[in-house]
Amino acid sequence: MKPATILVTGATGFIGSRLCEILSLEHRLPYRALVRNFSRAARIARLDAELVAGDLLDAGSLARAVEGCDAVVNLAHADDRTARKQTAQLVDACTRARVRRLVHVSSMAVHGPSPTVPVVTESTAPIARWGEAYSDAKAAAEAVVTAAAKRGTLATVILRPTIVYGPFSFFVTPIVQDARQGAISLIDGGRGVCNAVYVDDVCDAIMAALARDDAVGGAFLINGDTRITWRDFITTFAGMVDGEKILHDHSPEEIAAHWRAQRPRARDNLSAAVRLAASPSFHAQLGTIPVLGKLIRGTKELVARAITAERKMLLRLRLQGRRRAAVQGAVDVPSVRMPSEGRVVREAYRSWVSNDLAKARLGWSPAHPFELGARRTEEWLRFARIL
Amino acid sequence: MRLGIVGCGAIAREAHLPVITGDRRVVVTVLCDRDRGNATLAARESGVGAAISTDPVELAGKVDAAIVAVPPRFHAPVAIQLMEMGIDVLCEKPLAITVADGRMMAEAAHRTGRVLAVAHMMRFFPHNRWLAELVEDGEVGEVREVIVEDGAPLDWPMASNSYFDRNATGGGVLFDSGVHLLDRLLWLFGDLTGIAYEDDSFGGFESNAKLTGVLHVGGRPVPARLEFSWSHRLRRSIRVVGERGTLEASTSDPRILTLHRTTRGDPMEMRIVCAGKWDAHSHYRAQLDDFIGAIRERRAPFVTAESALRALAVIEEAYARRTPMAQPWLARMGAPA
Repeated sequence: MKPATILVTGATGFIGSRLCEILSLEHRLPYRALVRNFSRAARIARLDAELVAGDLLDAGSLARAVEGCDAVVNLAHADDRTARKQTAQLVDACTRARVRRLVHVSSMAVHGPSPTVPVVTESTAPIARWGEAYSDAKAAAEAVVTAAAKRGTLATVILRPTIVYGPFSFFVTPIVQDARQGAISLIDGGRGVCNAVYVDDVCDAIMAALARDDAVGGAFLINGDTRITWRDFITTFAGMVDGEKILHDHSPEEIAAHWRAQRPRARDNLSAAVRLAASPSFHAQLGTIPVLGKLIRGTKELVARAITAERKMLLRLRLQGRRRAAVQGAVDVPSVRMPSEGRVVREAYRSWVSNDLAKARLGWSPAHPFELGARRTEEWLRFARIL
Repeated sequence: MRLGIVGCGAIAREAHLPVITGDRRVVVTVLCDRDRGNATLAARESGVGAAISTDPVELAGKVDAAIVAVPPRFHAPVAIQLMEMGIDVLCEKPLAITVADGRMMAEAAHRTGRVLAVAHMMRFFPHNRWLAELVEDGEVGEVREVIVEDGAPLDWPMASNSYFDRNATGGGVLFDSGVHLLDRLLWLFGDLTGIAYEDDSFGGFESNAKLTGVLHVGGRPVPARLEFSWSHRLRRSIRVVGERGTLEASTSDPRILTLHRTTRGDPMEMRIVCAGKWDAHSHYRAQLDDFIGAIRERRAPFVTAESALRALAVIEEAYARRTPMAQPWLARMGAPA
């Protein structure tokens, strides 16, 4: 189909902003960008686009936004908790407004954080609940779209991009920032498979999904063509920064142990409560309530009479020792930040994601080999003074 | 003094009201906003027991002075209306959408005999005077270049979409954020001539802008470069680069002026303390002091409409001379035709 007016949700995000640029500057198609938070809209406000205020969780604003649009591209993913609900509301709004096509941008994450097949295809990798918040949220949202397609109430195309990178990508910026601090951070030697796809190629796939009538009802994995590891990906961007760098290699076990140790335990609550109860400033505040002040002073006198001077000194030293240890802990920051558990999920990936079905059915193929995509990203990194 | 606030968006709530409520010389009697919810929120947040209204007409007889903090396109009609009602006005920056509108406002102030102050609060920064005087005294030698940079990802708590609405505002980062440092630059060093300008907009609002021109410092022409961004971090300062060092006035610390110099082959940094205490509200306090003083003494405010017109004139000329900024990653050389 050739859409007359497109509604883009998630328009201020990383892929959404680029899609708006391409719609405005190349396709010159009329579209409406749904904006939840205008302070994030500076990038798309550069374009002569129609920005409409709205929220996928607000059915009224959604109905107004979708009115008069014959196609919708859904790129919104506010948070994992509400992903299913917001997709359901959007599907409902699209159905009511008789939208002719919904392109729902999902994720390869629906196939789980660590597929066991060497090559993931739409038919060989199952979709299930994986016990990983993002994967499950994307799968739940996708299920809503699939159900609408099966009911025949809405013509849908589902796209499942892999690791999308390019200008403004949050996969790239932290690598460069680490490199500027003289560090390269890898997980498990960077051996994991990096299924990287350049953001423009994802936008082209969205345009193909809008245009191709034979794609309706389908779900397609959208990946680049260059087979690289995470080591390739990370060292390419880190290598754009001049100067010596130290390579830090973390094992998944080491990272898991680190974050396990960070989680608050019941004992931490207790020791925090004891610290508060023992703190002089807390006593001073509490003492401003006359009846409590009297009680505190009385108790202190009682304790002072009951314990020996030696014991008192010992108690004070123990409390001071703890305080000192806490201060030392606070300044002892590691030279490279420990990778997040989310990074482990991404970078321990062992499967290659096939884009064959998308090539065959969407008539699309990625135009950016990794080297070209990285070069374009570098141009932006320099513009944004990150390099 | 009875004060009204017209336009109860983020700037009124976050910057003006916290200072006003701590000043016993003024009492806020009316909070006015086209969107009643904004005015009610401002009243609730600040604890001010003011009347709530949706039309500036309702300020008549209830206020002596007003702060105008509506979107820029409405500065001129609202401020003129208030002055004609006999109300003194402190108007948010940028003064107006066009120089012509700004002139009408200045003329209205003269005609009605009202105070019209402009909220270029950075003019009250303590390091401004030191910067101008140390440059004049030759502290950095002959001036070679003046560099102004201000950039950070846009993260202003927006009460509406007025930032990106042609019916409400007059431009992007140059007009809205750049005007602060541009105004200070012109105030400190005089006119900017030979203007060239580029930005990254495509028919919308620029989020990156670069303005160059020539200043006259110490009777000599000096190239000036001003860069502003809503997408990424820039230094946020005015730097005067001379043959013997650089003086830098950083927006993040209005108390301090920094002198960068190379001494015996090594970089040296000297911090010049221009004021004792200065917090995030101090310049708003100084601005309110001046506004109250101007009203009581019936004198010109520290930031007059006429002086604020200079930055508007440069912005207007820049937009008229606009050329596209290079964004090479946007061109799709790898894409199929």
